[in-house]
Order: sequence, then C-alpha cells, then structure tokens
Amino acid sequence: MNLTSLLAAVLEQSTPILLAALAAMITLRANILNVAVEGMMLAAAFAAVAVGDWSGSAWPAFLSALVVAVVLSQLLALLTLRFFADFIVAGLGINLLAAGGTLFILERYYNSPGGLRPIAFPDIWHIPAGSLSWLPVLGPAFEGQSVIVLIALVAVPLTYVFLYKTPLGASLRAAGEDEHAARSAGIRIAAMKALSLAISGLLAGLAGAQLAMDKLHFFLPDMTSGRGFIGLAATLFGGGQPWMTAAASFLFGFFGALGDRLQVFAIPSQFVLMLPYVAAIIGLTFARWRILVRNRPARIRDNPQ
Amino acid sequence: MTRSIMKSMAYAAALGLGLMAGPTFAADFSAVYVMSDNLGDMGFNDNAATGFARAEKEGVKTRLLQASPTDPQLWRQNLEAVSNSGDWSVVFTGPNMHDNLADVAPQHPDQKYVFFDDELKQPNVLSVKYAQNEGSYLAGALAAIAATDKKDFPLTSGDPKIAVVAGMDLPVIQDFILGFKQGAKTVVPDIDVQVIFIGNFNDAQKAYDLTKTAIQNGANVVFNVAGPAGLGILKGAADSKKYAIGVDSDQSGLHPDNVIASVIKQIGNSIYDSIKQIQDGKAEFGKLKVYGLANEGVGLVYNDKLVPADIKAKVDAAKAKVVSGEIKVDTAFK
Repeated sequence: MNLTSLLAAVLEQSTPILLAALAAMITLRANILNVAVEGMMLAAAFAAVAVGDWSGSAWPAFLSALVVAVVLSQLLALLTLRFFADFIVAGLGINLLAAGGTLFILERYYNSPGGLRPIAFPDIWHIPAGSLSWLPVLGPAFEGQSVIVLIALVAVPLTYVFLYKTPLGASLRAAGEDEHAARSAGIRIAAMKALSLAISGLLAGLAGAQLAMDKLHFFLPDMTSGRGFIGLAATLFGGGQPWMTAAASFLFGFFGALGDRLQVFAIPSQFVLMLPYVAAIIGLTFARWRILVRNRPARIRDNPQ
Repeated sequence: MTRSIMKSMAYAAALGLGLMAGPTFAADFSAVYVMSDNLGDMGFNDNAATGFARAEKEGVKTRLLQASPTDPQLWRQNLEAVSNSGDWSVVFTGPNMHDNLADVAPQHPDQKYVFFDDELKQPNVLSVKYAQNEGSYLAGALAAIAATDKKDFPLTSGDPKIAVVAGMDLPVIQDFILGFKQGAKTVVPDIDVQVIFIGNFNDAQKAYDLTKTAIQNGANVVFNVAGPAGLGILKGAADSKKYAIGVDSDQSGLHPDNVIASVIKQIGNSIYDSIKQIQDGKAEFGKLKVYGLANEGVGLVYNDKLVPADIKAKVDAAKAKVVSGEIKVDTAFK
C-alpha cells in the first residue's frame, strides 16, 4: 500500500465531509441542528455544472455554487426565524427541494433526467504536478488536489478564530448557548442565527463545488450520497469544536479510503463498505461516553474506612 | 409530490382521450409500456424506447407511461389503468414491477403482458430476460487481450490485471461479473480480476476513487457495471490514462481515447422482436424467453478507433463459441 496515494485519497475523500461538517458545526454553535447541508451541497453541485456548461469558465461556476447554497440557507433562515418553522422539518424540506428541484430542471430544461454531463467543462485550479516535490510524502499527496481542498484546510483555523477570537463569533455562540441571556445583553438572536446559516451555506456550497468541479465535471441526481449527513455526524462527534470536528472528518475520510483499498483483498464488500459508518457509531458512542464521564458528580463514599 | 400529481392528472387525461378514441384503433395492434422510471438515462429506458419507436414506424400504436422512480404508487395506478381500459393489444412492463404485475395480471386473464428483465409465471405473461453474462464474457475476453497486448493498446502496462467496479452486490450484477471473469480467464488463464463494489448506483465520486485505486493496484482495463455512477468510473479511467469498458449503452463517445467497448443489452431489439412475434401469433405466453448473444439480445459494441480488426476477430471467435453452445457461460441465476 503506497502511503502517498493513501494520503492523497484521504485528503480527497475528507474534503467534502470536512466542509459539510464545518457547515453543520457553525450552525450547531448557534443552536441549530442543520440537516439541510446535504441539500445545499446538491444544489451547489448542480449550479456549478450548469453554470460551468453555460459560461465555459471555472470561476463563475464556482461562485454560482456558493451563491445558490447561501440563497438556500437564507430560505431556511426565512422559514425558521421569520415564520418559526421547525429547523429539522424545514431543513428536510430544503433537502427535498434541492433533490426535486435539480431533477425538475434536468427534465424540463435539459430534457435528460438521468444527469447533466457537459461535453467540455472548465477546470478549476489544481496544484500543479511536481510543484511540491521538495516536501517528502505529504507534497506529492497534495499535488493535483483542487484549490477547494486548500480552502477547506484553511477554513478550519478560520472558523476557530471566528468563533473564539472575534466579538461577532462570541455573540453567535452566546445566541446559541442561552438565548434569553444573549438577548438581554443586546445581541440580535435572529440576525446571529441567520449569519450562522449563511456561513453554513457558504461552506456547503464549497463542498458541493468540490464534488462537481474537482474531478467529475458532471452532475447526477443524488450525487452527494449522504455526505452532508456524515458531516453532521462528524460535527456531533467533534462536539462542535473546530479542531475535533476536523479530526472526526479526517477519521471518516481515512476509513473510507482504507475501505477502498481493502476491497482488493477477498473481504466481503459489505463489511468494507460498512467501515466509515462503523467508525461513526464508535466515534459518537465514545463522544457521549466522554461527556458522561466529565459530567458525573463526585462520588460520596458512605464508608470511609 | 405536486410533480407526480400533475403527471397522474396528465396520464388520466391522456387515458381518457384514449378511451374516447377507442373504436377507431381497436382493430389495429397497440402496445403500451408502463415504466417505473423516466426516459433520458442514456441507458436501459432509452434503449427500450428505441424498440417502441421502431414498432411505431410500422403502424403499431405505442405509448410510454413514464413515472418518477420514487413514486411506486403511480406505477401501480398506470398498470391498473391500462389493464382496465382493455384498449391495448399488449402491455409491456419492466424492472421493479414484479409484485404489481403478479397482482394485476391474474385479474385480467384476457390481457396479454410482456414482462422484461424479470420473470413472472402466469399464462398471460411473456417473460423476457437478457443473458448479460454472455455480453460480459466478451467484455472479459477483450479486457484480457487489451491488458496484455501492449502493441495494440499503448496505455496498458502489459501486466495481466483488470478490474470490475460494480454498483451493488446483486444477482444481476454478479451475473455480469461471473461472465466477465470467465471471459478473461479463457484468454489469459492467470489473469488477476479485482472485483470492487461502490455500495450504490449514484455515488459517482466514490466510483471515481475506487477506479483510481484499482488502477494504482495495476489494473489496465476497468469494466463499468454501476449504472449512473459508472460515469465516474469512465472519468477515473480516462484521468488515469487507462482503458474502460462501458455498459448499457454505447459509451465510447464519452471518452473516445479510453473506452474501448460497451456491453449492451439490446432491450429495444427484444421489444421490437416481441411485438412482431405477438402480431404473428408466435409468442409463447406463460414462458420465459432469454435474449443472449445468439439472438442479438446482448452484445459488445467496439470503439473502432481503439480496437483493431484482428482483435475484434479474436473476440468474435469467442462469441461464435458461445453462440454454437460450445462454451457455456457461468451464471448467477441457477
């Protein structure tokens, strides 16, 4: 097993999960369980392919992916913060809207419900081959990765700085921790929640753009295949902390890439394909257990002999 | 949801018109296809549609009732509506419809049904299946030749290594895989065939990753058995500068330098053939008809740019042996 190729595969598989996880994390800190990440990713992937096909250049495609995801996130904000819909119900509604809406456009406008595959599609910037050869093992693993992989890696410290080192981040966290206390401190709760959803949309848009623009250059219905929900699991696993969430995402990416390599051996495919999900269950169990241990009251001994 | 309601209404309206116009075409032959999916997949359904289009040119009245793949109730409604109307000489239906047809067909003993890509034992149902293992057998033979023949296939390493990337571990997929392995082994007995599963039929990114992994492990030719996600397999092989074999429709055009051939089920041919046989009164209802290499129900279409004539001759020799019955291709259906 080649270490560099494994690392490259881990990076590639972790990136959409990491971005989805950060998208879910930023809303979790504002006390919103964002199940709509999946739908925002799907809509962004479609926008990237559709606009890339129409305009023939990469940057409009990339930007439109972000814009579409942010617009969807603000639709969710409107439904929940203005009209007081339940976050989970409205979030699932956004997912259905994205899945049905993309299929509808494929059928009515492109006349091909099976998918959208432009004959030529503009390439997004990838790290050129050979440019990082001075860095052993890690360098070659990064070569050929898209610019979105780098953005995802930079997004981890950025979200950390935003949440913990800026006044706006502190207000956002306060709005999530205790609404009444935050309101009495003069923080506009709805604005903070809408902001967290907008950032979430931006990150989910990046995730969708990565799926569509990195290697595939086409759109298929349901091509996100649950990555948004795996990201949500990674966030819960990481307890809403940026570093732990990133670590959890890489863990899932690692098990995915490892599973791909294990398929060469005569292990039943069902077991190998189970790996990332088994990792998720073990991880979540461990996270709950840690919280339980931390919150357990000191034991009072009856019999101090 | 509203979309499917609109569709049902449109169909109801269409059927209503059909009823009013009934007497004018009752004497003619007519065929309706109750679908569990939409057209436009560049594969199975579009292929089926070509068969109806051919029949229509010869004066058969045809209608294709599309339905959303996520709306099983509509499939059933459409099947019941066309059965109750009694306007159609024959009702075609296909994948995912087994239980529906098993309920509806006995209630309409005078209605004739053709059930393709699956089997149902009823006196008024003609079942049609495809020997995908025979088509894959040829793909395996071609893949083995391409992997070991560096002269004609410059992108290969010459090592006897090939791979199948498949959607899910289902009987019909295993049938593809068994035929592929057997075909490869008849040409190169010690060939290494990696068998890899994606776990579903729409995760193209995972299909892409798995294809790259298979190629890093030495595979020279990757066989796509993954439906829509297969586009990721073809892209992965093209980006790695290796060869791929497509499935369901002629996929050579997608990556003309990398896709050497495609295994196709000639669903359209079989449908046209069935309509002709029913018109002539030759169809054997209550029985199963298998379309394989011998009656052009499955086949391998080459990318003429990449596969030279002498290689085609070798593969066609293997085909002749299957057609003559000299070789029996392994199957997952016993």
